[in-house]
Amino acid sequence: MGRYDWRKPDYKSGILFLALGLAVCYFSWKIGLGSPAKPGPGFMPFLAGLLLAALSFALVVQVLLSWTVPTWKTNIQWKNILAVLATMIAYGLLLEKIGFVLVTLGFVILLMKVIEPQSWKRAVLGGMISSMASYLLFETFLKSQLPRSFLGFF
Amino acid sequence: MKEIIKILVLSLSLLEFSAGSLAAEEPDKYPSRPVTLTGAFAAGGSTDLTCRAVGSVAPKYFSQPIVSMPKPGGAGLVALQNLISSKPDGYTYHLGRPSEMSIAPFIEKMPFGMEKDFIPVGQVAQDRIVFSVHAQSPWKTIDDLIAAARKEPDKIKFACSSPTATTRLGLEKFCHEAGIKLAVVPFKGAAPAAIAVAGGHVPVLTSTVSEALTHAQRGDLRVLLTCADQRVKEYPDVPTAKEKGFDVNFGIWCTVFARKDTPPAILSKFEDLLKKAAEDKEFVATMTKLGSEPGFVSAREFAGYWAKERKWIGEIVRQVGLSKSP
Amino acid sequence: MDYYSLILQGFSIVFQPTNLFLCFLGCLMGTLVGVLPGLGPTAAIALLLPTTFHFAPVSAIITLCGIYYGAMYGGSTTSILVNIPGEAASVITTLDGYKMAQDGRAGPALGIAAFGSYIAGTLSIVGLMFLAPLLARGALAFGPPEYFSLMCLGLTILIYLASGSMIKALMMAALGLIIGCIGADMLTNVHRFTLGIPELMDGVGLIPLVMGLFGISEVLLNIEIQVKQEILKGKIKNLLPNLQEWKDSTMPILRGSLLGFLLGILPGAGPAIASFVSYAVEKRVSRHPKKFGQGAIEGVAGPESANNAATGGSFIPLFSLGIPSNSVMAILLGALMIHGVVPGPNLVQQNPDLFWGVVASMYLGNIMLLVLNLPLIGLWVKLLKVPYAILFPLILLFCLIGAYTASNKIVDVYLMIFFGLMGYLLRKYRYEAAPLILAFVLGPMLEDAMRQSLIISEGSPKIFFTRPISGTILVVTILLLLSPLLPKIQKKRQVLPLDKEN
Repeated sequence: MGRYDWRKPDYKSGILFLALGLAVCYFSWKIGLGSPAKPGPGFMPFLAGLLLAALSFALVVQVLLSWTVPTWKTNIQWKNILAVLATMIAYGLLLEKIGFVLVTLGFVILLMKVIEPQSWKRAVLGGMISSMASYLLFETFLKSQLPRSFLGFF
Repeated sequence: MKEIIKILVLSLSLLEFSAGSLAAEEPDKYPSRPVTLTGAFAAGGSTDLTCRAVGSVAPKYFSQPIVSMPKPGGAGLVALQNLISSKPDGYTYHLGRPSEMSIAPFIEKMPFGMEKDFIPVGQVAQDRIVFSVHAQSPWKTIDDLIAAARKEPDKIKFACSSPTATTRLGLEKFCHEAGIKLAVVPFKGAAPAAIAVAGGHVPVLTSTVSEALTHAQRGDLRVLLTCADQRVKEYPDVPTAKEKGFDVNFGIWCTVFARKDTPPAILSKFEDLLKKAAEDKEFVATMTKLGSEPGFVSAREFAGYWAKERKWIGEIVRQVGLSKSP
Repeated sequence: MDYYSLILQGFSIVFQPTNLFLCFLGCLMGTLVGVLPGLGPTAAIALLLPTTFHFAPVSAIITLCGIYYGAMYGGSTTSILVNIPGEAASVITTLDGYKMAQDGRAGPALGIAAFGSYIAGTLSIVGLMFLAPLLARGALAFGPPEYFSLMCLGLTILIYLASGSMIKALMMAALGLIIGCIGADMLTNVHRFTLGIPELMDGVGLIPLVMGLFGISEVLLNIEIQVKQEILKGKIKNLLPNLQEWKDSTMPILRGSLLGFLLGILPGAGPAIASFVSYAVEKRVSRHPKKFGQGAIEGVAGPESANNAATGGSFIPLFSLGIPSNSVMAILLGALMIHGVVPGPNLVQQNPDLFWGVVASMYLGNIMLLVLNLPLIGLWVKLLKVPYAILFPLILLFCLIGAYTASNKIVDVYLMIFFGLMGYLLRKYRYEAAPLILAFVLGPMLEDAMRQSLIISEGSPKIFFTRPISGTILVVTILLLLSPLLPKIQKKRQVLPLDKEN
C-alpha cells in the first residue's frame, strides 16, 4: 500500500461516497423497504444507496491496492468559486424582494468587478445593458412574470 | 466606495419602508391594478386554462386585467404560500381545486388552516368524475363491475393519475357506498393512467370527463358511470351515480379563494365579476370545449358545501391510509 | 389515401400569408428561447401559448409547432458553443460538440447539428404522415411491464456512455438514482429525502439539475483557468462541415432519425432519451469508439438527429390517439382543445385541413430553421470572441433567469446553484455527469413501472417475462449486457494461433 494513498483524490471521493451510500441505505430502511413482491418507498433508494456504497468501496480498494489509479492536483480555487456562488445566492434571495431589474443590475456589476476587475465604466454599462435587454426579452417579449420591486413599475 | 454603498443601502431601505405604508384602498376605487389569479397546477393544464378563460372574458365586466399565474408544486403549498404572503387587498386570488384545498390538508403538513386563513369567493366551473373500463372488459355496466368486485374484494385494479388525486377519492367514496374494495395502481398523470386502461393493462379507470373522452370516442374505453346528478353531455348514454342510487355527486370544482381577512366589500365585488364571467357565453363555450361544466356557485353556498366535503374527504383519506406522512 | 393531393392541400393552407408568417415567427421565437440556457421547448411553448389563443386553430397549431421545433434547434447552439445545454435533449451534444468547438470546429459542429436536425425532422414528418395510425396503436400495447423492461434496456446504455473509469461512471448512475428518488413516493406519498422543503415534494427538476451540473459548473471551471484568455483558441477554421465530416455523419444521422422517431412515439420517452440512446448506439457501432468524448462528429450528428426525429414522432400519439407523449404535447393538447379540436382517430378525417396544414408547416418549418440557423452560426462564433470576463456574468445571468422562469420557483434557482457547485467538484474529482442524468431520468420511470407491474401481477415478477413485448426487450437487454464479453473471447482465439505461428 502506498504511503500517501489517502491524499489521492479518488480515495477522498471514494470515502465520501461510501459514507453517502450508507447514509442513504439507513434512511431508506427507516422509511420502509417493503418486500420484493410489494416494494415500499425505501426499496429503490436502498438499492441505489447500496450500489453506491459497494462501488465506492471498490474504488477505495482500487486506490489502496494501487491498481493504476492516477493522482492529480484538484486545485480548487475556493475564493473565486465561493464568491461567484455567493453572488448567485444573493441574486436568488433578493430577486423577489427588490425586483428583477435592480437585482440583475447589481449582479452583473458585482461579478464584473470581483473576478477579473473591469473598469467601473464597463461594469456599470454592462450591468445596465444586460438588465434592460433581459427585461425586454423576458418580461416584454416572453411575458414571463418577473418579480417587481417595491417601485412598482419594474 | 464604502460611502456610496452606505448611501445606496440607506436610500433603498427608505424607499422600501415608504412603499409599504400605503393606506388600505377604498372599495370604490377597486380595482385599480391588475389582478393575479394563481393556480396550483402547471401552465397549459385545465386549471391554468380555466384561469385564462376567466381572464379573457373579464374585460367585459372588470376594468382591470386578470392575469393567470400558475404556481405549481408542493401539492398546492407553493400557490397557497403565495396567497397567504400576499396583501389582503383583493389583488391576489387563487383558483382552487379540491386537490389542494380539501385533500392536501389531510395528507401534508400545512402551516395554515383552510377555514382559518382562506375564504371562498365563488365557484366558476367543475369537472365531472367518470369511471371507465377497457372496451374488451366483460363488465358492460357498473352493476357488473360491482358484482365482480364483491366476489373478489381488493383484487380488481384501477388506474388513477396520482395516489392523492381527487378522481381517486371520488372512486373510493363510490366504493365505500357500494360496499366494494378495488386496488389502486397510481400513475404519474392522467394521460398515462388513461393509456394504461385503454391499452388493457389495468381494468378500471377513474378520471375526469375530458381525460377519458378521446379514448371513449375511439372505442377503447367504455364509460360506466358519471358522478353527477344529471346526465353528462359528452356521455349521454352513461347513467349517473344518482340514477344508480349512489350519493357521489362530487364534482372537481374550480373555486376562487382569497385571504380570509380581505375586506368583504372588495370580495363581493369580485364575486359579482365571477358570477358574470361564469355565465358569459364565451366562457361557457370555452369551458365546454375543455370538457368542463361551467356554472356559478355563490361564496356562501360553496362554503357550506365545502365544509361538508372536507368532512367526508377526511374520513376517506383515513380509510385509504393516506393520512399525514411522518 | 391520395397523399399527393392531401399534401398539396396542406401546402396551400400553409402558404397563406398569415400562416406563412406565423410559421416563421414561431420558428424564430422558438429558436431564440431555445438558445437561452434552461428554457427548452416546454418553457417556450408554455410562455408563448397565450399569444396564440386568438388565432384560428390551424394558425395556432402551426405557430406552436414552429416554436417546438425552433426550441429544439436552438438548444444545441449553446451546448456546442459554451458547453451549456439549452435543455435536457441537448446534454449529450455537449460531450463531443463542445470539444469540437474548442478545437476550432464550432462551425462544422453547428452545421452538422443543423443539417442533421433538418434531415431527421423531415424524415420523421414523412413517418408521421404515413405511419401515424399504425404506430399509435402500437404505443398502446406498452403497459407498465413493458416500460420496466424498456427502462432496464435504457440503463444498460449507461455502459456505453462512460468514457473514463467504469466504476466511477456507475457511481454517478447510482447517485442519479438516489437524486431521482427525492420527492413524495408515488404510491404511498411518503416524503423521501425532502429535508422538509415543500418544493422538493415534487422531486428535483430536470432543468435546475442539468443547468447546474453542466452550465454553472462549466462557468466555474472556466473562471479559474485564465479569465483573460478566450475560450475558443485558434481561428475558426471553416463554417461548414467538410466532405469527410459529411461522410462520417451520414449513417449516424439516418440511424438517429429512425431511433429518435421510434422513441418519440413512446409516451414518456421523448427527445432527451432519444439523444442518449443515439450516442450510445453510435459509440457502439463506431470503428473508433475512443474518439467519442474527444470531438467525434458522429457524437453530434446522431443525437441531434435523434432528438429532432423524436419531436416528430411525439406528434403521432397526439394526433392519432389524443395521447400526449410528453409535457410539450400535453400543452399542445390543451391548446387543441381550447380551439375546439378533439384529437383522436377522427382528427385526420374530420379536420383534414388542420392535420395536413400542420404537416406541411412542419416541412416548411424545418426548412426555415435550417435557413435561419446557418447564417447565425457566423454570428454565434463572433459572439464567443467576447472576453470571458464580460461573457460569464451574462451566461450566469441567463442561467439564473432561465431556472426561475421555467417554474417560477426560487427553490429551483438555489437547487441549480447547489448542483453547480456539485458539478464543479465532480469534474475536479474526475467524475462524469452524463450517467447521472441518464439514471436520474430513467430511474424514477423504472421504479414506477416496476411497482405498478407488481401491483398488477400481485407480487409476481413473472409478469416481466411472460408478456411478449416485455420479455423480448428483457432478453435483448441481457444480451447487450453480455455482448462486451464476446469480442474478448474472439480476440483471445485469434491471438493464440498468431503466437503459435511466430
